[in-house]
Amino acid sequence: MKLQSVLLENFKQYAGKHRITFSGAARKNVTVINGKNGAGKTNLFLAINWCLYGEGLEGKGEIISRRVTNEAMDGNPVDCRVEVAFTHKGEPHLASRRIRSKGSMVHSAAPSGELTLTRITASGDTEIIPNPVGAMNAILPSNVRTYFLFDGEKIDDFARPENRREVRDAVWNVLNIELLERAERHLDRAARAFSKEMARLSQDSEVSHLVDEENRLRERITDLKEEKGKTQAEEEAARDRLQAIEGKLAQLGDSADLMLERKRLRAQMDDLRGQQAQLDAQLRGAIPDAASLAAHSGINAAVGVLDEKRKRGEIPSGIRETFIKDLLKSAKCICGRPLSGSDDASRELRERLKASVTAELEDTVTDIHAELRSLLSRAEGQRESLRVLLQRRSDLVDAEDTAAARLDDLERRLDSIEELDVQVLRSKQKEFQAEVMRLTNEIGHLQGQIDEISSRVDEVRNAIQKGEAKDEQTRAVQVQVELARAAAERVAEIQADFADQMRVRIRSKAKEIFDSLVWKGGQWTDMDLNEEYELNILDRWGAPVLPELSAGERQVLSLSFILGMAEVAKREAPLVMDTPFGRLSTHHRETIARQVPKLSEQVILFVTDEELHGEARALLTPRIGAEYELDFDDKSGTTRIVKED
Amino acid sequence: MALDLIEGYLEDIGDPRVRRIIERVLRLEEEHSSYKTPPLHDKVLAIVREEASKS
Repeated sequence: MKLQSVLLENFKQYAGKHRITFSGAARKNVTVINGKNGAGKTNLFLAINWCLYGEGLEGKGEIISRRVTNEAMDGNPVDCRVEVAFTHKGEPHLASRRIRSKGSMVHSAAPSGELTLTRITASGDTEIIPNPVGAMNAILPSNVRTYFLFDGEKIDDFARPENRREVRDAVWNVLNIELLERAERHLDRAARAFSKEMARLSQDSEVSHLVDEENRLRERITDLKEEKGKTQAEEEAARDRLQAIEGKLAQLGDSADLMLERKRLRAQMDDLRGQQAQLDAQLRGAIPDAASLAAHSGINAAVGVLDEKRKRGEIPSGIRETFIKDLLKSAKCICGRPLSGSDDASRELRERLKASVTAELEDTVTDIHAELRSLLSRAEGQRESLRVLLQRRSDLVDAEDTAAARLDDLERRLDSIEELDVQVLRSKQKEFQAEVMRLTNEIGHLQGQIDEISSRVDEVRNAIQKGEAKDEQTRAVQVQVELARAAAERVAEIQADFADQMRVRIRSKAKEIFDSLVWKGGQWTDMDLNEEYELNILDRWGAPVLPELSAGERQVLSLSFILGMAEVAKREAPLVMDTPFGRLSTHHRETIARQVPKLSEQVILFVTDEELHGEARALLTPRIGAEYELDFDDKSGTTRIVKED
Repeated sequence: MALDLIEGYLEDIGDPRVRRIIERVLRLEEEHSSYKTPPLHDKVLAIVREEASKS
């Protein structure tokens, strides 16, 4: 979606008709709309939102120009209209929302006005789109637009410790992961409906009973998953509260240093636990080989016996069975003397033949000996690696114990602070720590139940599949059950994997953008978006510093996240920002002015003269394709839009 | 989500009927912005029936 123009007619202080044409040029992709406070920047910004989605004006006063309403002759009707022209996938569209008033009464089919959406097809025909709200949501969903059309002073919400849920929702909405969740739910429901149909058709009471049981179990799993989802939301809320409390404690004089140290220790413990988990995985991988270690003494003894036999010359035996047989068959010794068969030499040869072994057996014994030696050498190598791994694990456990002891000491020191504010916050902190732990356990318990019932479902499903479908119709429904079930399971797998892959890609892209915008590169070593969807900045010790960021820094972090997300999701949408530079220091204004035009195809900025000046304006100027001034007339209470050259 | 973002996953699905069911249900969901049970449920049932009959 690329915005082309907006037309306002009798909207708020915009009496009469006013039009703005946005720049869409590749190199000059920025449109700047200047205005003093109260000149109408935010109302113009809201007009675009209202036109496209019918939202954003709740509690913000009358929509229709008060001046025009008052001037209307004898209560003649007044029309208010906002039209937004845009292109989507190269096709021109026009969204138009209008509302009409007569006197003080608003006359409209819907309180938010009526939307019409038309598009010009490739053949040049104008087509009215029948379901404009649905079509608009397909172009840029309502729950996604807030990430592209936003108030610059409020976007730092993403980077607030307590707003993890919003970050997760943003990723879910922009990438439309909810769509996969809905598809899974529908397919699961379809599988259950087909199962019921099969139970009804089946004459086999046992199969019918099993199908009923499977459906009951699956419904129970659905309930448990829902309960788990609610508990997770509660746990996230409790965690967010806990983080907010800890953030406050970190700012209070007496506890600030201790909280900082506590944060470092916790980060260190998390790191040690992570290393332990990696080591445990390595140890688990080494266990199959450890079977050879168990047989080590047996192998050693066998090699000893074979070595002894070698020393005694029994291996190899020296005379092969085939050689003796050949001598007896030819009735002639190698020295040329004849062998009668009953003479001493022949008897000696027959005795040796009894003691000899077959060539295959002898080769096998020799091979086994070599194999056993190699096995012995490998087992010794593995024993050494295992010893090293176990030593490293023991060192990690010791390091964790030391950190835990220091943490306990720190907690005691925090408890001993007599300052009332600290005591109150510590008490709340403990309360929420306990709550988080309780909810985490509850989630684990629910997951355990889900796993247990899922295993039972697998057993029942296998039993159903073994039960013979009696007739063709039942067999056909059975195929439907299996296909719907397979599709639901596959969608669930895709959803989990896709969400995680996207999170990792957003983290990487957002970090790249963040690095290009901030100036504390030496202080901050990493930007994180972890599995819990916590957006964070890590310092050189790997400790999170989010609660310590300034409002401007949080704004930059949020902007990096939004731009990273848009890039990964391949969303074609303009970046429309109201008051984007309000809280930023000079450095951040300049880096944003330099970088943002490169990061989005179209940028529309609503700014005050205070926000955009000096070097920041100079950096942005080469990218500005259109610029307007909002001129508010105090006498008439109306705003005029003036195009600047 | 544009279907092309998960195209790789769909290609990995061995059973073409399962793949087609998922593609069609996702397109259906894309056309509807929320979980509207009765009409979508019937359409999902119809998709599965149709693909099952192709076996």
